[in-house]
Amino acid sequence: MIATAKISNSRPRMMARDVLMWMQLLVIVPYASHLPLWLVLLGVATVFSQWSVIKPRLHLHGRFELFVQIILFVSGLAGIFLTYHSLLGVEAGVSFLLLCLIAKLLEVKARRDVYIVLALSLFVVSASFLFSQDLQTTLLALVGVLGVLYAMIAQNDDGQGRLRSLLLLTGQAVPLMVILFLFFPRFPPLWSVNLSAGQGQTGMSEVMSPGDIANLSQSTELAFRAFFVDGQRPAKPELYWRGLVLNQFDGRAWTPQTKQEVRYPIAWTGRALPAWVEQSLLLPQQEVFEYRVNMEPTQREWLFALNVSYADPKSELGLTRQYTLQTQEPIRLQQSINFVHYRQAVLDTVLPDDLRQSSLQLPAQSNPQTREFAQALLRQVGGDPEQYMQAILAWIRQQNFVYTLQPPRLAGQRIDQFLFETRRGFCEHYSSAFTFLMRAAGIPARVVVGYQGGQLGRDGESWEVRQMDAHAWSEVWFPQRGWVRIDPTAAVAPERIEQGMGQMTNDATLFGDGAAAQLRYQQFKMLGQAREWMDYAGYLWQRDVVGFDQDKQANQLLKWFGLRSMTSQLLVMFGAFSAGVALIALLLWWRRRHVWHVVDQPLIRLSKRLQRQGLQRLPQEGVLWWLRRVGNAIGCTEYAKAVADCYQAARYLHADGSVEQLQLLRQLRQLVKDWPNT
Amino acid sequence: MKLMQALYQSARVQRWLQRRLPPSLQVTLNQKRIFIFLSAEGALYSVLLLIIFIAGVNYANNLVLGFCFFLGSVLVVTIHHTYAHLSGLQLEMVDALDSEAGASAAYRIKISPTGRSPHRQIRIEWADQVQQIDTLSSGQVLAFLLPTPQRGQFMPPRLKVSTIYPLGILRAWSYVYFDVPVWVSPQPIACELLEQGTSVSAEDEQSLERIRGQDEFEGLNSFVPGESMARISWAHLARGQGLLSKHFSDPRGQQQILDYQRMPLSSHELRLSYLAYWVKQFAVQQVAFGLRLPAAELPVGSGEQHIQAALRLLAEQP
Repeated sequence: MIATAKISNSRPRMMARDVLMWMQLLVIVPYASHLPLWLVLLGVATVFSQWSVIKPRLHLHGRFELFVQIILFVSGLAGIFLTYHSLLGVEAGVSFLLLCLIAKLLEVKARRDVYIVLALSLFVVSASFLFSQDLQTTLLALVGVLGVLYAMIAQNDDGQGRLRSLLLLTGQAVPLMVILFLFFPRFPPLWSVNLSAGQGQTGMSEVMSPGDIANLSQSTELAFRAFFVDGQRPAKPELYWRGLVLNQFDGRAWTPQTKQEVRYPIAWTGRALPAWVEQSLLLPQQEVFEYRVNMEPTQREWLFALNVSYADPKSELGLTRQYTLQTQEPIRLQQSINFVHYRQAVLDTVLPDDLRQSSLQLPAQSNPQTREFAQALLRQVGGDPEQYMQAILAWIRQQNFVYTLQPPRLAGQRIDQFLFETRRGFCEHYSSAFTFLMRAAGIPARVVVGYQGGQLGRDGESWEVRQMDAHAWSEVWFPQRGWVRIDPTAAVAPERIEQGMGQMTNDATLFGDGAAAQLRYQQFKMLGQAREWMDYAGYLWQRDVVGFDQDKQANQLLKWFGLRSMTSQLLVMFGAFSAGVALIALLLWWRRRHVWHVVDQPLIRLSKRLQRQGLQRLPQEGVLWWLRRVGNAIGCTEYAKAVADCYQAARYLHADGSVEQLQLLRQLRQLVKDWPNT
Repeated sequence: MKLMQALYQSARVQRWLQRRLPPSLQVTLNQKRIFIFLSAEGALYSVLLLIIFIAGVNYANNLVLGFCFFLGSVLVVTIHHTYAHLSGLQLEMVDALDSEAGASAAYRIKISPTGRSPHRQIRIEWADQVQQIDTLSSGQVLAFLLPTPQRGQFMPPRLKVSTIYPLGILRAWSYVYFDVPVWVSPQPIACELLEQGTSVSAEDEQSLERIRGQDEFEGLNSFVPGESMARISWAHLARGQGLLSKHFSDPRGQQQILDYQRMPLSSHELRLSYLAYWVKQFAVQQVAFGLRLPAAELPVGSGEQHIQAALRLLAEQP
């Protein structure tokens, strides 16, 4: 091509390349919550360096530019490897993808480069769903994809009507997408994929060290949702969601028992059950019921289930020796799990020696004051474990213990400090101290962490358990009775158990004293409301969109449409899709069709009628000329002239829309209607 | 790409295109005439769609699948939008001028929308020329200079009109064959004109006789210094109308017969080129001339029309 003339009527506009760069920010920045911050900042800096205002001042040319690009890519690769110790897995993989995009931004020269960047950025946007599928991620991805498409339009136009084009395209694409989404058959994975361990973790930790945190965060984030068959849900004070058993205490923190699986393998469902499971759960006259839990991602294996639950053989769950449940893979995406609850379970009427030993373990010479107190009280009740336990609970009730979310920090002999000095704390403090007191008296005891309570969801059927419902309690072992759940927090703050944390936090004093605490309380209240709505929207999103799997498609949608086979499903999909496309085509045609003047319309009809005789108006023929020709051809010159005169008057003599024109128009229509020889 | 080009060039495809898109003077682009397919960028986009789809299925990730469906739907919608920007476009031949070999023929076409909506980013490629219209909301006349390397009849090559708006991933295009040939006269090549001498045949005498009668006053021009004093129209000067010189259509003694046979001995084309040179020379010198070719003859004459007729005659030579 030698000459390129451009006939342009455009006003000054942002360079297409700058649009491309700025829109990359919408793609890169949302990754700040999933990928290393340095990578995201590198991306932002690269975008700025490529801005047409800054780029020329950097004087990057030719080989030097290539050098910078290579340095950036190699050091980025090294950074990713140092962060994840691998280049495989989702985080490292997506980081690599993002790095490729950032490096490519440095060499956007030809149109080809632009489209490689656009395709890469669309890919990067889609990868964000591998981290999270919640509503916020979806909205951010939507903004990202609109930005990229906007930049794509900017590569092909003169800067006018970009937003209009974008909205037209995407607005028309959405209904088609919905059709595909609903009806497209869901296949099983083509090959198995391994998602690597997650970095971001929310929710419960495996370590409990009361006194470390001076302020328990009151997150209203959803932990899980439970679904019960009508009337089977136990009363709120009975809703103890067992998570982990913490058996080891080092004077500061409680941690799970290590290496227990060697002696007591996990009892996976569907395999031969070990004796201890049968003895504890499968009792005669056992009352059982099933319920379902929708777990939010925790990046952990362990599950939260009603005290005590197991699962049906189909689900791949394991019961540990401490009667906690776990999955084989960490829960990375929302997961639905069916549990079976055993109401009359009696855990370990006979306690093996090694378990007994580990449930009595205490760090040597720690908390002497507490030990002394325990021994004295035990002597006082005559060495009877049950009476001793009751005495301890009574003592806690009688002393001025305070339940607060803002306890003072503890250091050194923490249990001593808590029991005899500060006496202010929340569930962790009470369960920790209580378990210590039991062990000090030679009674096997352990700490259980999980959730307690919850509240009915906005939909009126699901039971919501939030992070703020996290709880810790104790289990004490008595001969014959086995492990018995004791909640010392209930002794000091029964309303925590009766009403749940949601009600508790209505009490402003829990947040501490002073104006700052009041403000925190108000914020908490307001956020709580907004959060509730967000949660509910997020829940619906998870349930109906993210969780729209093969089963739901088959059971709900296809049943509703009465579709039995895959063929009919595909047919409906193609039919609906084609109808949608046809509708769009029709819309476009309607907007672009030739619009005739109202006076021309009767003559168009006439032309159509005369087509049979081959006397239709030719494309280049004037109306008056055509009428004369027709008049001559069929020998009604006079009539044709009358029509022509009437047309001429109606079209040109009077203003459009005037009464005179209307009259003439009516006359013209009549004339056309009474056209002879048709 | 090479393969595609070879395919386009192949005679069979060309014949099919000619049949499908018959040459004409005016064309309104419609379904029958518009082709649409993925551009190179669109191929990249499709590969991306496929990768995202596989990822969505493999991770059993509904949102990745949904994302893929959205991008796919955008592609399908874009087919119609890109098509709509070409559909209903009217191309019409305005005029075309004769040319000479090695120069270019000037063609003018009018491009106009037939509907209400403007057409955007219309690219018109004709021979080696490209013109791009950002927004076409009313008729526009475009001029193209199409190179005419060879003497004889020149049929304009097919015109390609295309658009990739809005996303650049699809290209809609159409070919227009305008049935408007022009004549291309030989490229003028200078040579010495052999002395005409007195060897005027009897026929020539007659023709000279005939035009002698036309040796009449043609008009007045303003006097240019250097012109013969004899030409000054004294009558006008006397009337105070300034210096005007009289011009005659066939000044005596200045008429020439350009004879093909008397051109320097060389090839047919070269001889025609020599003739073209002299036709142009005489046009500048305002010398009346006639043309004698093996198969045709042009009587002596002068003026713009006569020159054009002479050049046309040279162009039309076999």
